Amino acid sequence: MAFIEDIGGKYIKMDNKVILINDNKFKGIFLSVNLMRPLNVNENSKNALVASILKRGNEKHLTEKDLEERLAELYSSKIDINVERCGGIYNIEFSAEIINKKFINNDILDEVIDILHSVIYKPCKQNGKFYPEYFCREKQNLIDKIKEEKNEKRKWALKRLEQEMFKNSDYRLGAFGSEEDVRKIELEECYLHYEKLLEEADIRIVMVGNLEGYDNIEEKLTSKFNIQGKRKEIEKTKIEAIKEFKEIKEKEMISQSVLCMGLSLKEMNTKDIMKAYVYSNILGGTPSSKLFQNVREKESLAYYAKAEYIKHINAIYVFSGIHISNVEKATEVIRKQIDDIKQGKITEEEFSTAKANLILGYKEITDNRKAYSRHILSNSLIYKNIVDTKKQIAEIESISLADIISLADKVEEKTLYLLGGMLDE
Amino acid sequence: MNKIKTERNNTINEEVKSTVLENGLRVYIYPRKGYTKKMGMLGTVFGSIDNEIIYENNKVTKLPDGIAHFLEHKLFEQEGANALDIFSKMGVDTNAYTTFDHTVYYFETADKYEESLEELIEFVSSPYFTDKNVEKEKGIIGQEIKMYEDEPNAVVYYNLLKCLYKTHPVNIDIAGTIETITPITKEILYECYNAYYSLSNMFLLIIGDVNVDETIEEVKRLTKIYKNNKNIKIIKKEFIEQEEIVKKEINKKLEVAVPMECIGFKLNPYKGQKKIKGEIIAEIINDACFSKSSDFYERLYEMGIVSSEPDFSFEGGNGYSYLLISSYIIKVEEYEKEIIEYLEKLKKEGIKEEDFNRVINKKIGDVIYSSERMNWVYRSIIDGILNDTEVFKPIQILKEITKEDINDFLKETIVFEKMAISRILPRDK
Repeated sequence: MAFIEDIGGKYIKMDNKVILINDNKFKGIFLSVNLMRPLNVNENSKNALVASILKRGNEKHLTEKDLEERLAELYSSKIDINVERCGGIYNIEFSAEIINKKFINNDILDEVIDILHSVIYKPCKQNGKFYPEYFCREKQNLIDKIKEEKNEKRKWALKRLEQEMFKNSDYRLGAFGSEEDVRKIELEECYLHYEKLLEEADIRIVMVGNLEGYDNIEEKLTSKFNIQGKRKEIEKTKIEAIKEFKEIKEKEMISQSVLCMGLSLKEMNTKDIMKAYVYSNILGGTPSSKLFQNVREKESLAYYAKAEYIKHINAIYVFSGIHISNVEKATEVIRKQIDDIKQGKITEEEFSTAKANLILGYKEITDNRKAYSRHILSNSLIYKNIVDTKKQIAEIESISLADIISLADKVEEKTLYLLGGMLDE
Repeated sequence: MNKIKTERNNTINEEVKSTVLENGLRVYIYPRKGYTKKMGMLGTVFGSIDNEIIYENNKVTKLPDGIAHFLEHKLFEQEGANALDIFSKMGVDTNAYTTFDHTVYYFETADKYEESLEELIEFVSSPYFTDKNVEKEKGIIGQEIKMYEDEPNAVVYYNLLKCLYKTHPVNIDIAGTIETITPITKEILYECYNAYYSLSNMFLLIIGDVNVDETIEEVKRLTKIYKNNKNIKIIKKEFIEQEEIVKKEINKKLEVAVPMECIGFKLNPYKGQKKIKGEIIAEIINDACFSKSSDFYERLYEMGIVSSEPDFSFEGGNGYSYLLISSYIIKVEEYEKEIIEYLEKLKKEGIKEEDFNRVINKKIGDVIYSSERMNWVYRSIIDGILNDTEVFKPIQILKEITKEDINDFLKETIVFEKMAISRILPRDK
C-alpha cells in the first residue's frame, strides 16, 4: 500500500479501485461507491430511473421515509444517489456522509455502510422485479425532472447548445436522457438493466475524512462492495462534436437573451488539459478575462460573460446574458476575443491571472470532502492513475504563453446557440 | 490593547475571537486549523431596505431603490484601476453581495492573505465615482435585473413579499428596477457612502488558519488609513407597516414547465434572540413535518402532487418577519388544499414527540457538518452582529428548545388571515 503526501492530507492508495484519503481536519466522512459504464445515450434514462428506484426503499428500510428517519437518528447521516456523465463515462454515484465518532461518542460508520450496501444491492422486490408502484412513480418523477430543466434559462440554453454541438454523439442527452426514452421503459427491462449494471459496471470507491481510529476500512469496503471480481477496466465511449459549424436561434417569452457558443478542441492529449483550462480562464474565467473586460466592462453589454472548459469532452462553452438587440455586437466581440488569443494578443497580466486563478482553485479543493473526492476520482478516469493536486499545480506553473498560443490553434467554434428573449424585442 | 473576546462551542469544537477597535469597527476571527482557504469579509449594515439617510439633525435624504446594490457594484472601481482586476491578478477570488439589510465585500485566497486583507480595506475605503462610470454600470445592472426577471425563484419570492408588505421596502427587489436606477448619480452615491460606510457601521470577518493577534494588529494599522473618517452619525429608520397583508395571491406566467409557489405568513417583527429562536424552530418544523422523513411529504409524493420536498423557513430583518413555504408543484390545487389542511392540523395538534426527538438529533449532526462550511460560518457571525447576539447562541438555543416551544410557535404564526400565495405558472400553450 503506497502513501502519497499531498496538501492537507495523505492518500492511501489501492489499485485505483479504492482510494482512501485521510485528513484529520474533517469532522465528517464522505464515502462514494461509483458504478461506471461506458456512456451510451440509450441507457441514460434507464440508469437514472434505476438510481431513483433504489433510493425509494430496500430490504432494510422499505420506504424512503423509513430510510430518512433512520439517517436522521444517526446524527443526520446522508445517503444520496447522483447520476452524471464524465465525458465518455456514465457514473452512478452512491454516496454517504457520516459524522466522525469523535464528535458524537458513537461509532455509526458500519451501520451507514450497511445501509449504503442495502441501497445498492438489496432493493425492494416483487416477483423478481422492482416494486411496480416505485417504478411507476419514479418514472413519472424522472419525466417531471426533465421538464423542470426548462425552468432555469441559462442552464437550459447550455443544454440546447450541447444537444446541437454533440448531435451525432452519445453526449447529446443529459444524464436523465429524454422524456421519450423514459416513457418507453418497461418494468422488467428496468430490472434487467439493474442486474446488468451490477454485473458489468466498473466500481470505484473513494472515502475522504479523518480516518484515524477506524480500523480495516479498506478490507471492509472491498469485501462489502464486491470489487475483487474480474471486472475489466472501463472503456470510454468516444465523444465527438459535429463536423461543420452550425448556428441555431430559438425564441422564448423571456426578458433576457442567452447567447452561447460551443468551442471544441481537436487532437487533445492529457498534457493539453491544463493548458486548455488556462486558455479558458484567459478567455472568460476571471474578472480580468477578455470576455469580462470587453463584453461587460468595456461595452456594457452584459452582467455575465463567461467561458468554461469541460475536460472530459474537450469543449469550451461560452455564455452571456444580453439584450436581443445586441446579439450581433456581442457575437462579434466574443469572436474577436477568441481570435485575439489565436493571434497571440494576450497580455502578461491576462496570462498570469488566468494561471493564478486556476492554481487557487486546485489549492482549495482539499478543503472540501466531496469536491476532493470527486476530483481525485475524475482524475483517475483521465490519467488512469491517482494524480494529486500538488502535481497538477506544478503542471500549471510550467505552462508558457507559447503553449497557450499553440493550443489556441486547436480551438474551433462548432456551434452558436441563441435563446432569444421575445419580451425584450 | 483592545480586549479580545473568545466564544467557544464544544459541540462543534470551534471558537471565534472578536473585538471592537477604537474606530468602532467590529472584528471577528474564526480560525480553521488545517484549511487552505482564507476568507476576509468587510461589510456594512446597509442594505436595500435602507431607503433614507436620517442624519442626527433630523435631515432626511431619500434614496432611490436599488442604490445599496448599485453602490456595491461601483465600489470596486478605483481611480485608474478596478479592485476585481487587482485581486484576480493576485490569484485571489473576490466578490460582493447586497441583501435587504447588509452589504459585504470579500476575498478568498490560499496564500495571499496579508496582501488581500490590505487590498480589501483599501478598495472599500476608496470610492471613485464619475459620471461616465456610473452611466456604464447602468447597462450592466440593467442586464442583471433582466436576468432575475427570467428566474422563477426570484420572481416568485419577490412577488410574495409584494403581497405581504404595503410600505416596508422589503417589497422591492434588492437590485431595484431599471426605472429606479436610471436617475442614480455620483453625488447620491457619495452621500450614501459617506453616511453608511464609516467604520463604526461596519464589520470585518476573517475565516481561516490565521494568527489572531497578528491579524488584529494588522487590521488596526490598515484601518488607520481608512479614508471615510467623518464618522457621520445616522439614525436607523423605524419602519411602520400595517399588520394586514396587501393581497391574498399573485399569479405570474413564465416560460416554465413546472409550476412553483411560495406561501407566506406575515408576522409581527421578531427581534434579537426571539428571532434566532424562530429561525431554529422553523428549521425543526421543516425537518419534522416537510422533509422526506415526514408522513406529509411521503403522501403528497406518492399522489404525484409534488416532485420534491417543500421548504419551510422563517425570515426576518429590521421591521419585518414572515414564514415562507416554497415548493415546485405538479398539481397546484391539490397541493394548496393539502398543505392548508396540514397546517391547520399542525397548529391544532402540534408535532409528534418521536418526530421532535429524531429531529433534534439530526439538527445536532447538521450543526457539526455546517461548522465546516465557510458560508455557515460567515452567516452565523453576520447574524450574530445583526441580531446583537453571540455567534454560537443558536447552537445553545437549539439544545434548549422543547416540543412546547414548537407548538406555541405554530399557534402564534399560522394565522390564515395573514397568509398570501405567490404562484409561477406555465404559459398557456
